[in-house]
Amino acid sequence: MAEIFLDRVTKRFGRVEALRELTLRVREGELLVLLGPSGCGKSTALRIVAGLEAPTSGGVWIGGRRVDGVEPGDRDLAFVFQTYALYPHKTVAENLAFPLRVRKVSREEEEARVREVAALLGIGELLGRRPRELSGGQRQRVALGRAIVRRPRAFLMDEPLSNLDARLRVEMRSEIRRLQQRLGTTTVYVTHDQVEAMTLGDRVAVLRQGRLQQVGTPRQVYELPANRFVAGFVGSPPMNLLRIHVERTGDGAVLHVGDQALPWPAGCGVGPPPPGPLELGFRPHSARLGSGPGLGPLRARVEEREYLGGAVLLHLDAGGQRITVERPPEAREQPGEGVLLYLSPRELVGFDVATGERVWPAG
Amino acid sequence: MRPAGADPHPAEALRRAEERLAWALLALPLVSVVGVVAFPLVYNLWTSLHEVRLGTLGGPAPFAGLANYVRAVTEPELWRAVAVTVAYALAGVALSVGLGLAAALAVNRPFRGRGVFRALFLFPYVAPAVSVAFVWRWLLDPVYGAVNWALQRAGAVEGPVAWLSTEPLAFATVVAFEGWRYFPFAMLFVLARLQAVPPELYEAARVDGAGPWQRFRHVTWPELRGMLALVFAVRFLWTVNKFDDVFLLTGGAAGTRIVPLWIYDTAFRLHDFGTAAAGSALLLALLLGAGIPLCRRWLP
Repeated sequence: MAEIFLDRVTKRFGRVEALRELTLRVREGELLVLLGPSGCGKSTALRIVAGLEAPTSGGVWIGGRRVDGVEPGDRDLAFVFQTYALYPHKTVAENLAFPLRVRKVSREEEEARVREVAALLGIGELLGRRPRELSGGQRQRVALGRAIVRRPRAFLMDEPLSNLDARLRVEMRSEIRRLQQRLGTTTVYVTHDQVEAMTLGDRVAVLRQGRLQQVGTPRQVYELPANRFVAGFVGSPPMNLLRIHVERTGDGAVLHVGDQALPWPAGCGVGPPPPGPLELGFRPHSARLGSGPGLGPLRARVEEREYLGGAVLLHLDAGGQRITVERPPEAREQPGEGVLLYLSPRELVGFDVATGERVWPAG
Repeated sequence: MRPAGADPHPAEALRRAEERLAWALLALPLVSVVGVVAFPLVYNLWTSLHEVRLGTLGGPAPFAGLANYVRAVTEPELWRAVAVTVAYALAGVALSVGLGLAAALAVNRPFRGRGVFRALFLFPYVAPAVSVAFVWRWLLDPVYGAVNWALQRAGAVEGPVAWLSTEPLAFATVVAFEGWRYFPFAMLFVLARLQAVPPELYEAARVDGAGPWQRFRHVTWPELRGMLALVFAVRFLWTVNKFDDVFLLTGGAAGTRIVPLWIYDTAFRLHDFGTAAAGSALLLALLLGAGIPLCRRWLP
């Protein structure tokens, strides 16, 4: 177990800048998820921690020791690959034992540890098989086992669930979470799947085009996204963004949405956003239809209706701006109908129109 | 809709057109296989069962039964040639596969000038046999050869060495030639296989703490083993049949007379075509006996 610290890590591949000045602290024992779209540099960051790539500039510390120039094998980390990277000609037992054998662990201890890990992951009956005789989920377990068996200081996982079908992915997700909590090993987990990030991470670091956008608990990232990108990337369907203009009036405020003017509800416990143009963000499930309380009424027209089983999504036109709200499955609104929206002031965020950075609420 | 039975169904017409095309495409290979493989094979078998000498060549010859085969297998020179052939093929192929493996590993990783090296390495295999054999003969010549000159200059040898006409040097030289000339073949196959090894396997091994030798032993070698065995088997069969390289270098002198050269000498020096044909048939039987199980083993 160890803390991992990346200090202003930049990585260029020729003219392409994969990472720019990434500074990130992975706390001892936590599971940190690196989240971002493909090509955002998340895998590169993980490979730099592993020592499979060298940073162009900046440094990496593991357990308080600078590891730049240290061979991957001497960093005492375990890496789980998306493709599992099991040694195809070795049996499951030999795959699990390989990191120990390379490190010249005694045969008795090797056998004991392989058995222990096999029991932990429920792959005891598979020890004599070769990887090609295993299903995807079984291979994934063996790959995890090969990481665990060494008792490394940290686990690095590069999209370990992407090659599994949806059902198995959910199952393995909770299994990885359980294992990580039980072992308490510092873990960096790379994924492009925001649901995976939310459910797995103690904290989530969102990357875009090689730059860190935000680090925080899943809840912080979801409720208070640092910018428009995070707001759109985390959560499905993404956060709604409404162009508005805020006007201060005496001790209150009026929010102009197109030609509609919504008075800021007094006594709601939250101060109004700063005056001027603003991009107002709210989650699809935080809008109420029909009656208050809240900020409203915002008139809109139903354009499309999507039935999801557990919920209904209504795509609305609010004065020329498209927004989406989530409704219970029994909701009756149909395309063409007009609706009145009330927004909960506590669940609103404001982004700067030009930069996209969150300017309200602060913190 | 057209009335039934007026024309063949469109699907049937298409099938017939496909069939005509198939025969057209097959015609050329079929003619060449019959002309270059089947006819010589049958003619060789016929010759091996008849008393064919210079006088009876191309005309009717008396039936000889198995006399030619008896003459061939009771000929000690043939057995000596078999022993030389097997030793030559095993040693030469082992050398060429070993060199090919080393060359493939050397040019697998990107480095400056890799393309140049890859092209240079292919040279021995693509150059015409006659020219490279004569270049070797010239280099190794006891009187004019650059190799003897250099060795004498360096004081490594007292006098000139007859590389191609003394035993067992001549044998070693033809083995070296085989290794040099055919290592690019093994290199190409091994290189193709190396490029297909998933890079994550090496990365996983590195993270697991394996050094360069362990990565070779636990990742590269198991991935290459099958390919190496296949290359070895194919090259072995081809080398047993090989005629031109040894013929051009030594002509079969000084302990290098391989079976194809024995057949050649029997046919075109002793003009005993029947016995030579019997020797050829025996060689073919031997190769089929070794080749069919090998092909079953490795070809899908």
